[in-house]
Amino acid sequence: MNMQADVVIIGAGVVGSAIARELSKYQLNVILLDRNRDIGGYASKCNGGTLSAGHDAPVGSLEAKLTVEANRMYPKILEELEVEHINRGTISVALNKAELVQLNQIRKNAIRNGVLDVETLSGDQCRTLEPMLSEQVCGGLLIPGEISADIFELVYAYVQNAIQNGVRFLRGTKAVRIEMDEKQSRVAAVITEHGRIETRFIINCSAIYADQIARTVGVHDYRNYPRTGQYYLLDKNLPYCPKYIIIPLPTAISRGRLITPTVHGNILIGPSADNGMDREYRSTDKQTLDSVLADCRKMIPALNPRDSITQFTGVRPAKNPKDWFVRAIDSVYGYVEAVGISQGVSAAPAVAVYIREILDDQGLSLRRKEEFNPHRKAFKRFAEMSEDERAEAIRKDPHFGNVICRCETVTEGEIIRVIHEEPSAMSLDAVKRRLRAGMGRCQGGFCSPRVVEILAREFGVPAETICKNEPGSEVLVAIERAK
Amino acid sequence: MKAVEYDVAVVGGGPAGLAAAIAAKEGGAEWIVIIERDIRLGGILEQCIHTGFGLTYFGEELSGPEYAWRFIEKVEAMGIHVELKSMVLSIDRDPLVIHAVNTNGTFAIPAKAIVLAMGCRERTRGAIAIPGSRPAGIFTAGTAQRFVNIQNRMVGKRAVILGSGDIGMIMARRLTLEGTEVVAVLEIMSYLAGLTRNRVQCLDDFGIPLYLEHTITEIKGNSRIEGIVAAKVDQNNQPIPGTEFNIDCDTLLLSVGLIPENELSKTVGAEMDSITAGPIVDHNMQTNIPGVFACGNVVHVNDLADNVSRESTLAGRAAARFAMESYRPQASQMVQIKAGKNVRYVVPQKIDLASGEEFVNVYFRVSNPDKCVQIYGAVGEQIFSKKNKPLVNPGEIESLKLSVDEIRAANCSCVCVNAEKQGGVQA
Repeated sequence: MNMQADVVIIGAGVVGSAIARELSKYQLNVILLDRNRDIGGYASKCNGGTLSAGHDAPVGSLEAKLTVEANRMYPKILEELEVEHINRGTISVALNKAELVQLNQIRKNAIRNGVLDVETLSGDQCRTLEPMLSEQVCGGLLIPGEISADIFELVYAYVQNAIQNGVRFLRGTKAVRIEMDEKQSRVAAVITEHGRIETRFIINCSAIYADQIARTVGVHDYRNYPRTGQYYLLDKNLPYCPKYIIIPLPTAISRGRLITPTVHGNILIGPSADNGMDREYRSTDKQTLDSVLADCRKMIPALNPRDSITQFTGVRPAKNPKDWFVRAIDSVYGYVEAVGISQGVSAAPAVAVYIREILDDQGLSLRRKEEFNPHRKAFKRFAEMSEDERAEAIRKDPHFGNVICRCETVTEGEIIRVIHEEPSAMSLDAVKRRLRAGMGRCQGGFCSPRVVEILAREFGVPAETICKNEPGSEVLVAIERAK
Repeated sequence: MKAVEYDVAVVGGGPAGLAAAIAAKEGGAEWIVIIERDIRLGGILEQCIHTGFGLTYFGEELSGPEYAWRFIEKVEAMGIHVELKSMVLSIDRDPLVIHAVNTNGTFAIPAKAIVLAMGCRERTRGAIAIPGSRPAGIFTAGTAQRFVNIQNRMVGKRAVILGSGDIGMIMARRLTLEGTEVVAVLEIMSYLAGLTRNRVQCLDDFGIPLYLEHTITEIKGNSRIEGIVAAKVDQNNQPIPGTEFNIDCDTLLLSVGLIPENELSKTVGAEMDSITAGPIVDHNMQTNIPGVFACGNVVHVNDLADNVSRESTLAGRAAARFAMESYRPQASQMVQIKAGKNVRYVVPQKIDLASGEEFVNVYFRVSNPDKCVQIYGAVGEQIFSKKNKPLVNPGEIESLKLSVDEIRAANCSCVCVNAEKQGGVQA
């Protein structure tokens, strides 16, 4: 496979996907590629599900600038892309006098970062807003700007809208190295496991693997490492579910362990933050999960692990040095990178604009596409349809009358749609992320055997080849018959 | 267009729904419908191709589908309506209306009485928080059973089973017969979770080792499961450091408990029991909502389908009486049944003294295994309906027949059911 493009974006996590959509506004030949068969990378599909206001980023940092600006851009983007979200706001809570002092500093930093909509609350005012908060809470800071969103849908919508506007998406295509031209002065191509893509510009958004790509063009001034975060996901409709996102005081390396009411009404508690070495490590452990629970119970004592649906580990692409690099490299013309982005979901649209301007500086001609369509149509979930809408959907396609996931009320019609709609769902997890089939309290016990058969039928392949996620994670094994 | 009202609408066509529908018909209800989401009646019995059903109900040993067929035949012969491939999404009260969908569209079914018979679901890995990675190859035992017995698929080559519930033990045998090597069954408790006969027939007969007081402390493998770490547990069910050992496997089956499936019951507003996770019912299996009955594993997880059929017959009969307006429960005549010594829960939780029965069977599970046990009802110091049992086990359901006259004579508001060591001393 040999291809040609103006710009190749390596990595279809949220940052790469947002850049792909931004560049799809221009008359450019853009390729977005990812090593995985599904989008979302590693970090963008395993995170806290909030779009941060940016108030708590380091004052004066690029992170603060981009996150605060992205928070202003998001309402329009979420509307254009029809991504499910709730403007929840956060309450940062202090549990003792020392924390009250820190809280005051957070407010001052928020103002310096340009987040002016902050309000100091007393402990009682916190409990008036959130009656389940502990008696220990002695003060709080209300930041209305923070948003709960369906992050997987956000990434999916970025990629879908980019594809609608002409971007080509190559899945399961791992970038191995970047090839320079003969004079070693500028980039010439991305070499992938499946062939060569000739290109003038390369944007490295490969998150946890960014340093490995950068090294192939002689960029050695940083190293990526994984920072794992373990979460508990609790059921819906719990009596102690807060309305706001509840945030403790930050630690040296993270925002701390949050209590987040998700956009779908579950509660997410976590994450932990542990620096590691193994970039593929995605395990949970009892000790860490117990400590996550204990810390979050200091804020809402009623949190009950018996209401747990699942636990998981996300991997943040940490970097040493820790500053965000959104930059071009003078010695490698045409190579651009957005790395160390620890709040990628929150900052992505601003990072995309920033990258666009770097490309402009590098001489890429940015001519606006007249036919660019900023709107992505979201399909209404069957679960959220009125009786009449359901009847109409079933009349048009009887597959909508076949409920496959009973916990989340997902129909066969919806599953067939996401299988055939780009970027198509090829695995159980891909279906789950798009539709929530298997994400409910039975965790796919009921629907997974059915979804395996639907995937096999729609792709015309044996059921034994259907994976939980990436190749190697086949759900079934072939039957060996005696001859 | 107003849909025709049914006398009795039954949600779910498994063993509970089938028996309830038949009993409703026999009890005189005319218009009865069963709403079933699968392509055929029978519920989970259809994938239970092993034998062991019907020993107490029919006095012979049947496979799951054979047992179901006895009821399905009757349902068909009685002219009971059946809506297959139809999923009930919600139920309204005042008046009672079921909202469902199938490939023909959405539909509403008004009914004079409703029987909830949705069964249960399996407890998952997430519910018990097994640490480790999240690879493919981890199944609840019933999901694996469906893959193997209904869809003709193989789930793996070398399996470990966590939990000694009945489905887990039955799948140990089933997978062995299909060519999977089952290397271990681990049980966190010091006793079996399921029936003793399943241990003998499914594990011992096939040389499959059972590790009591063991659990899994870690799952390994990134893509497909590659192994687990097992450890012995202490009296508080916590892993004992230093007792860990690895078991290589490409498949893990979980048989760690069943949970009554009551999302629908909640939509109609049924009051729930926090121990059983099912609706609180009276001895006619009526919930707190007049005209809404519940039976089978939706009320509490049963050990035998035979018991489900028996209990569901009560629900169906009472639903018919309710539909024909010959029976209304009276709050003033309700006596509470409570779990007493070494009893985890009781079903029913209430007895309606006015409904006319002479005797009422109370079903329960004990909290801990025990020997030489006396089972009895008690109102304060007064003891009645005493019986002895050589052995009780949380895995098997016990019952006690209470005399309604005796309870009435005691003039009380609450009866406790106890399972106490004979001589009154708890071992």
